[in-house]
Amino acid sequence: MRFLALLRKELRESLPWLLLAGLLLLGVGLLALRAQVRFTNQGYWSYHPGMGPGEDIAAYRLVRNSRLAEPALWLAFIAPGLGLVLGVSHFWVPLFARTWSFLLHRSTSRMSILGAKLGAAILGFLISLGLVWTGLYWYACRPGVFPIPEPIQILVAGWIYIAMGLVVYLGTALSALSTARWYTTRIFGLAFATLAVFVMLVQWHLGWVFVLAVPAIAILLVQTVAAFLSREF
Amino acid sequence: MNAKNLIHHFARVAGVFMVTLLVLLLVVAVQSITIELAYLFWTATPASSTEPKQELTPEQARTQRILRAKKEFLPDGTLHLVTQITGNRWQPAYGSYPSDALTGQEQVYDVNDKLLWDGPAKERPYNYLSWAQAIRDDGFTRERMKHHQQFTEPRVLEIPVGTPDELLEIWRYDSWADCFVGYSLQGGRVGYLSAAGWTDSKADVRPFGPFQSFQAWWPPDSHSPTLLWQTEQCIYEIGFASRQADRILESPQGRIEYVAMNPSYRFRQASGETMARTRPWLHCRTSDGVHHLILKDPDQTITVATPPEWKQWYGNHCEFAATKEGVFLRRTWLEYPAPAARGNPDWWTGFRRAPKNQSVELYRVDETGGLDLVNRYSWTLPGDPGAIQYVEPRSHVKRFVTAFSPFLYDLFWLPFPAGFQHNLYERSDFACQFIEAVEEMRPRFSVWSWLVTGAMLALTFRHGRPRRTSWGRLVFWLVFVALLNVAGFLVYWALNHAPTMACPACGKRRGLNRIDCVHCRAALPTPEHGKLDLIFSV
Repeated sequence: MRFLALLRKELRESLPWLLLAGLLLLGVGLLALRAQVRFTNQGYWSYHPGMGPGEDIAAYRLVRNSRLAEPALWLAFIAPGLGLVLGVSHFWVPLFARTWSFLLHRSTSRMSILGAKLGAAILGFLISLGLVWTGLYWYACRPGVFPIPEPIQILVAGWIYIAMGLVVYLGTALSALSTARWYTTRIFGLAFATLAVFVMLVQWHLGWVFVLAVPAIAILLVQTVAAFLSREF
Repeated sequence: MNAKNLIHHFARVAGVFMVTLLVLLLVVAVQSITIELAYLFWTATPASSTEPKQELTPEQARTQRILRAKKEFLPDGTLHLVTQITGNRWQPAYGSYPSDALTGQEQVYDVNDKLLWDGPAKERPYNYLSWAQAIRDDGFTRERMKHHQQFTEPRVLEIPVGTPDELLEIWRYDSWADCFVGYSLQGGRVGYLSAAGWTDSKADVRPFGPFQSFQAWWPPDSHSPTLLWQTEQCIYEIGFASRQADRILESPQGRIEYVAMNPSYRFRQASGETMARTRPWLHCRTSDGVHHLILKDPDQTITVATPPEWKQWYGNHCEFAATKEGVFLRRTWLEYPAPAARGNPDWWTGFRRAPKNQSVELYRVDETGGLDLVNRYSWTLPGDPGAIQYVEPRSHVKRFVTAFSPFLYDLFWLPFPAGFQHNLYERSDFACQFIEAVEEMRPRFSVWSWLVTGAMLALTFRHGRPRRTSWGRLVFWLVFVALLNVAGFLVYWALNHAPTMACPACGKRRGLNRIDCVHCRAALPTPEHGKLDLIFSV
């Protein structure tokens, strides 16, 4: 019960940011999809002039951007941004406002407090970004919207961006919980998250993304938990 | 061991790994910047020569003309030396004419240096054998496909099927299943095209195999483009309107290294005298040194295994031509042994200094792949006795900068079997860049590297001895620093620095990260009553 109360408290405090991120993604996603629908309704041949029988075709003309590429690009910025904001509001703001003591002196374990923060962040990502992104994909695949449904790869790409947001969140949390100085190891949590996100972005094989994402999340998570359990606030 | 302790142990290991990775990257970044800056500031621009240019003697001019001339064969085996006055005079030793070649003024000489023709190239009275062109030049390569599959730029490859007025179907390449999935614009899937041909069930799909390149053209009598889809070991011709994926070549013994085709293979229509005489063909070379020729009109496949001794000569290159009268092979090669390994500077210096014979040969290829020499022409490439060994300008700086690199970079190469790095290089960009960075910054067991590592060990020992919590841990960090050099010391320092104070009992320096003195085992003094902390007075 205490954990649920803490979780509700964290979700309530994060709600403005979650709403902002979700509505932003929904807004730009719907606008981009509407523009794509208008463009697609002009007909295939109108934007592939000169492609027809007897033509030597430059191979790149057969390649097109996914219709969800633009919202995906927004998501690539929104998800890490949300991770950074949630990390700051969960772990940094209590430091600045000196409110850690109020939380830690309640009759609940540190693990519950940390679990509530992490749970709120994960739930926030799943609902505000994951649900919206999946909804946009579902809309794009509905019959009559586009000539053929969008590939499943774009949906997965969006979820990878959301996982990157979680990496940034954990990196921010680790940096916030460190007691070292800025110019020494305190910045390493954020630096490692940035590095992990960058390396994941340049992969082209899904397997490699998971090979990189899972250890990155594990490395940051275990350090965040250990730092939170042992730190003097 | 309870869960909390377990988490702390894992966290410590994760922390060491994370900090090590970041510090290693930082060190590599600093090293690279140092090398480039040093190269930028220390490289002197050579003064331009003030000696007047000497006029070439007639013999020198003739030699130069022969070197630069394209060596073209007529179908009867006669060789002509073709030079151009305008345009790019530096013609490649082999290959077809560049696209602007027919616009210039041309001279045609025979092998006895007699001028046969001088005039516009397009009016030339000779029809030479036409050689296949590599498809990579205008095709869609593996690198580009990988680029499009990156998550930052999600793109899809789609092939339309339709009339000029109406789009009927779209076939999309599914990179996960490695097949094409067809969608009808009326709704629903129309099937799959894969190595198994057309199937209506995903369960029957067989992947094409590791993608290498594709080329597309739209046949005049078709409702969709045709794709020539090349994988590591197969070539497929995929027609989407007819829903066919024909495997036109399979090479289980060797990887496909090179594919070339003539334009008539794509459209199979005659335009001009040369084209009318030419058969459509596709030339494919595999890693086992076998050449495969796939000919049309009529359909025929010829496998040519060139003599193994050809490979021992430098610049050995084979290309094919096919006419209604026969199939020909043109071989270009230098009478100079090929290097055992690429990037050997000694071999390269010797090659540049020595005069050597270059030859072009024409063979007639029979139906069984046998070769019959028709004609051969050789000329001498003059050597450059003054050629000096090329020294990479960065190498002087690099020798000192890499002294700060981890010894582990040298050890990294030891445990893997031969060819492992090359295979990894082929499979993953990330692994490839990682290997390149490690290779670039290897200390190569240099004395400087040992000296720097020794200095880092001494610093670590000096820093760690008063701060040690156990000898085992200090030894671990010493081994760590020995393996990682400067990066190891920085990691050690970042994770183990603690303030020290003079021990009140023995007077020696002791770290404050353990409660008793490492020298005399005396406990930390108790703060005096009313004083906040003994640390502030340290």
